[in-house]
Amino acid sequence: MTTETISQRRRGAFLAATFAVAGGATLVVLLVFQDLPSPWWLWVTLAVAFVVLDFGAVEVNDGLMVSASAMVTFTAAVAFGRDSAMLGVVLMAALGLLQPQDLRRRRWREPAANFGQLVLSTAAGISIFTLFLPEGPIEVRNLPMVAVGAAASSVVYDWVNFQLVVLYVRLVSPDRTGRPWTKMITNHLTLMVLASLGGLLGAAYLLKGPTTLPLILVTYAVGHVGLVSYGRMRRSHEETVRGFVKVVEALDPHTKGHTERVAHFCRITGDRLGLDPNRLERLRWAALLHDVGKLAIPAPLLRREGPLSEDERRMASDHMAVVDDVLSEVEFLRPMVAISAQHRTALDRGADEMPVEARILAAADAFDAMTSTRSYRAAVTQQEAFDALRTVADRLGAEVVGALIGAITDRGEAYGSPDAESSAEVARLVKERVLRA
Amino acid sequence: MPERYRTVVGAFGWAMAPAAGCVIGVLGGSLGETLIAAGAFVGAHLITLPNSAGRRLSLSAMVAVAAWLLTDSSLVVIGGAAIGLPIGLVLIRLRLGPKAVTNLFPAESVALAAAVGVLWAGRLAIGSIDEKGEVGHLILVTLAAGAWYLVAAFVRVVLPIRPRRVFRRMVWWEALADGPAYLALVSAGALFGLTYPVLGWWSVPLAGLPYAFSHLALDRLAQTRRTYRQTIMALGRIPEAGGYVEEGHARRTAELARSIGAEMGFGPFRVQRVGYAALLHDVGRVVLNDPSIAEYTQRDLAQWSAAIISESASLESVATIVARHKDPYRRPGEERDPELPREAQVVQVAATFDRSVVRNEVGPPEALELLHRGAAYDYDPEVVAALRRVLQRRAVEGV
Repeated sequence: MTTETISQRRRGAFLAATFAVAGGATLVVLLVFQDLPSPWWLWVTLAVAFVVLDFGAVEVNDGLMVSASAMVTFTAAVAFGRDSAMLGVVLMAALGLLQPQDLRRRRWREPAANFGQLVLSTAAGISIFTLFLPEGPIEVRNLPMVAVGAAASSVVYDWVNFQLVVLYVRLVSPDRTGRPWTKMITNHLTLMVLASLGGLLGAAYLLKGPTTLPLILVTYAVGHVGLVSYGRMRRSHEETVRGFVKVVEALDPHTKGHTERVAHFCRITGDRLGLDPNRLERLRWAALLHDVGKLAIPAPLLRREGPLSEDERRMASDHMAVVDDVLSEVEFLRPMVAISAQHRTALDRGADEMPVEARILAAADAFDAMTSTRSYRAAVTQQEAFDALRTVADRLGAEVVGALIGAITDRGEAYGSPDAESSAEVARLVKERVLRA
Repeated sequence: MPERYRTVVGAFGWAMAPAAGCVIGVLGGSLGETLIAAGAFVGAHLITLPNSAGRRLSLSAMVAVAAWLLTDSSLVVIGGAAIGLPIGLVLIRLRLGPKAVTNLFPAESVALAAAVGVLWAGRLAIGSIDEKGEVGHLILVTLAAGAWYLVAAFVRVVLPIRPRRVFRRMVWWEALADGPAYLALVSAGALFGLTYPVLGWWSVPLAGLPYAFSHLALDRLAQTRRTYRQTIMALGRIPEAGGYVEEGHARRTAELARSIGAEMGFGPFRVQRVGYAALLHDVGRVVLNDPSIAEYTQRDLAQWSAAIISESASLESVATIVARHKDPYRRPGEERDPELPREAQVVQVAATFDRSVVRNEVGPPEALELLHRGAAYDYDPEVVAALRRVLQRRAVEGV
């Protein structure tokens, strides 16, 4: 274990303990100043719903997790009333510390940090929400305040939660970067809608009585089951495409890991250029697919030791085009296949003619090709690859080339030959092999 | 009855239904409420929700449940449905085409009749609703919704497949496919019906937003399921793109294999697995296209295809089928291998039939005859018999 890792672990343990103590202290204060939530069976029912939904958060887009648990917290806040809303909801949110992956890996640091983070952010959010709740029994005229208050408080909750996560990540893993809070607008909007809905459901429970409770739970459950199935199906879809990518790489061992690296370069470049999550998702799929067409190329051509002749190049290109046609029959893949097909001609066309995604993919593909050793040439150094990319900046777009170089440099990542001497040595060996072939 | 008369009678029936609905509404005590219910039934056909099988359901069940909770008169709901359902179906036909109508009619109408029957029977049994209170009313409406759910599934199974054997479990599969979508519809309708008297129009977002959440989730699920199927279809066609197999072989084999599976009473997931296996059964050819591999057996091909497919963890069961699809049904002198999946034999029979007809240019009766000759050893006789039934239903000449 390196010194850096040990110090990171120590910082992580210290922060987790600090979060846990702060969360525990908040709970003690709430126990002193708030009433216990009543009736107890309602708290237990909503807590079970909260834990189930929180465990089942689903990634609906690149990195965007959606869970309906926020809806339950606001239902509970209204149902328990001003005097016990904070205690009832914070106790419930504290159960979110038990994340399935932490339980499976028997980790204690993350649950401790989660506990503090959830208690503090929920307490902040619900304390604001209680200001919107009426002092006496809830009435129909209070509903607008409940809906608006829940939406506003969810933003407070989200902001505090985000700041605590950023603090933790910055101190424990300084090399990791997260998306800025302001760019997670879809996440905030989803949370605001779920919070308003939760508040209204809580009001319906108070105004109409317990008969609404099973309906509320069924509503939660159906949406949740739909989301979980969607997440599972999405994973299967991706696994299937990745499985075929593995086959491409098995047929052409020189390209091992190429697709994953290109997908990574695309992601960090797209992120730096500020593409929204949907476009990033499309770009990721295009990167995964960009070499699947090689499956239709005869194996001897793929494994050829040396550059292809003009005829062979045309033949390979024809096969790739046929596969592009086949993949274009998939509605969802159509735009991605277009991007993937266009990236192959990006260097022959001007930057204005190509969508930015195709240019990002072309730049990422070219960078990885240059910094990897192929059957017929050696990898160049990272600096040489950067210089080569800059020479085609007029065709790939200066902003794309700049973003790729900036993203790799800022992250401190290194690719290609370590120096010019090793590059020359590998080049000599490759040349000898090509001549032998 | 000649087609011309059938059209006239049908059109008369559809035109009379709204008129009858108005009369029923008047008898029910409120033409105004009947027309509001009719408007809601029409609106329920402007949005459709996909079930797990990808079929789209209208929101009629939601409207019916809300209406039953809001009014004591079943006649108002029947009248509203008689006016709203035909208009809604016409709108669906205009928007989504005739196939979308067959998913809804007559299943929805028969289901509504059954649900109303349950409501009336329940009221006769328990007496006045007012005496039983809100919980009694809710239980009765839940029973009626349950009747709607099962009857609609039954009608949808029975009507399109009349010539085929109807398996009882088919109704359950159909009902299961409807389950989540139907729960979302009924719970949203019930939430609206219960809270409207207290919350007024606030019950629209209250019931509408959770429903929208479920709708979005189910819609995304259906969309992803469809694109996943299309992706597998596209990946299955890669050997065709490389010129290693005949154009369209994977698609035709999959279509035939699915029909044989359904004919043999496989459940929807099993039919889907068979379809995927048939689409991907030749994918190993992309590895075996190297001239350095002088020759390979059909079982080698099956093993390579399975190895490629098993790279995707979610297709493990499909890989198992493909790995065994070139195995003989039974070797002479041995009992049938109990481990051999029946799905593998379905893929084998469908692929052999298609290859005979397309590549070897043999007529369908002769191709079937070849399979018959191999039955009991190379091919499972039950699978070959199911193929014959499928071809007979398609009126393939000479079969």
